[in-house]
Amino acid sequence: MVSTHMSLQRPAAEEAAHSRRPASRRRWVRWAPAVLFLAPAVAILAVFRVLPFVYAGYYSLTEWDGIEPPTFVGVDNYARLLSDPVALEAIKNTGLLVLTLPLWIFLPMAIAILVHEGMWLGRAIRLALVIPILLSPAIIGLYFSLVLRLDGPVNELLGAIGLGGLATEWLAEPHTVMPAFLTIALWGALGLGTLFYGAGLASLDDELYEAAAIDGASTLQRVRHVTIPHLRPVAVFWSLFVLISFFTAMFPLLFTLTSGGPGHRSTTIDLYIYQAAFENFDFGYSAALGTSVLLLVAVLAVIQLRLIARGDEA
Amino acid sequence: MSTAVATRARGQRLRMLPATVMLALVGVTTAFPLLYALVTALRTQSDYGRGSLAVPREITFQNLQDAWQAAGLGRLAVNSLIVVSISVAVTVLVSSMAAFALVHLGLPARVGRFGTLTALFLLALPSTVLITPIFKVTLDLGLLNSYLGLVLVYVSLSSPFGIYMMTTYFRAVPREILQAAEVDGASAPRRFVSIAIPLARPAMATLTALTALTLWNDLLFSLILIQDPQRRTLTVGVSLLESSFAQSSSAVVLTAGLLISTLPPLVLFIFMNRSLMRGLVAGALK
Repeated sequence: MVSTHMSLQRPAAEEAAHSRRPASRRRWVRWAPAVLFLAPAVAILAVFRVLPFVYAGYYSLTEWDGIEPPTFVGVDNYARLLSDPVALEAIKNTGLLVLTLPLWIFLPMAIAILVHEGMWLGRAIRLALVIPILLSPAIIGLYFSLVLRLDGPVNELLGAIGLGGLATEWLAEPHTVMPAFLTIALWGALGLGTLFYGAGLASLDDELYEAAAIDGASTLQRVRHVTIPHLRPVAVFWSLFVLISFFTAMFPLLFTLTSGGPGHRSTTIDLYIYQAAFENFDFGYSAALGTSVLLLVAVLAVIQLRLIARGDEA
Repeated sequence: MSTAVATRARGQRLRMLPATVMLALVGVTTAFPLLYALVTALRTQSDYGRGSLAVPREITFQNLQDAWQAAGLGRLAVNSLIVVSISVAVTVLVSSMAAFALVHLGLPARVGRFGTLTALFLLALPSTVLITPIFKVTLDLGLLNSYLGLVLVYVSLSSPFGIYMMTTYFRAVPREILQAAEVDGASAPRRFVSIAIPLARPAMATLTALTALTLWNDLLFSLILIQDPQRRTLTVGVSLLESSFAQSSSAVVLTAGLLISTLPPLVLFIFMNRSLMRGLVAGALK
């Protein structure tokens, strides 16, 4: 690719060399509006989106408390990551989240298909499921920290149906906190997933359905052989989106829900990136954690990018 | 024939009944927060003490008032409104301009493609893991604790999606219309304002709704970049309510704070429903 690029460039460059000034000036005049229109976005993105990548690489190799000038420590921060019990616990918890991925993929898919098949109350249910995606995850976390309190409605409800013995401080017990967090995170994303698959189903060709009906296919056969295959690309997109969010978007929910506790029992990797920097004032280490996650997620992001680019061409 | 179809449809719905019941229950739990927040925010602490699910005996606006004034959420709500509306306006303007330039201002096709790909690339790479460097960049520019800094970071977070979405939209605008205007002597800003913007209004509405929702709900960047408690945004203020206002951290006042912070997203949902839903799907699709 590089070589074709060069060979295309060369004649143009020679041509420009012959009558450099007029040609380049003409081109500049022609492109001036485009450059001016692009400038604000490019400036903002260069400073706040591209420069941080460079900074991340550099500061991950330093020790910096946020006040004193950073000191260069080489790869110490990365070495520390591998022996830091909190980091390992955070990785384990993020891993648990990844293990729930099939639920994230198939539950919203099933709901979208049921709504599409004309389930009773389908639209009302879909509308209700959308409510959590309007709220900030931080607000959802706060809500559940209230609802799961010892004197909150969940325990009260358990008492009312004779299961009062199960009532507990859900978010403070080491063995209930992760299940509670995993459920709440999934609960909050059902609506978005359903919307997403719903958009995929909207492009489903009715003729395929009619053809299936004429062939005498049962509902289940039709769903299995027509609907689900149609949703496969959507499922791939959705699972990449969800996977990336596991590593990068759990912070606001956990910040208000558990702050990562009890102990570090519900600390995920992106919450720990925040805590390392803004609670332990260990900015260099936080940058190293962030850079590691970024490298990991970049692989997923590139796959996602290729899929989008391919979708755009079609 | 039609009755046969109807019978079959009913049979199918009957078979879906177990799933329907289960999902209806889930739907009750997702709709519950709003109802619960409304009811709890309007009852007294002692009334809440009778049982959080009990039907309230009296209604009070004291909690809302406490949250708004004593806990200072009123000021933070104003802060949020200012920061979010400026950020949204700048995002929409800056992204549309860049997208217009990439598609319709005579750049070579490969430059346009490169620009769109760069936007996509920035969109796909998450910046929540880059908080330390973003904090440092803002610090180095002397923009920590300033709304200008927060607005610029917000614009940098939302404009990659904006550019990507607007380029796909502008590509569908026939080149001939813009070329005709150019031949008639319309300058680039003129073509942008009187041709491109009117045509792109639905896309701009979608971008506005999605950006407003995302930024209003942001916790992370506002938390790290604005450290002066008076200047915080509402989501941060409400999130810190439990720890920072130990005295007033009763469940009812907290819930009042929660209710206040959910009102703007609800308003957005009610008045820009279509744009918002389209934006959410596109945002996840990227």
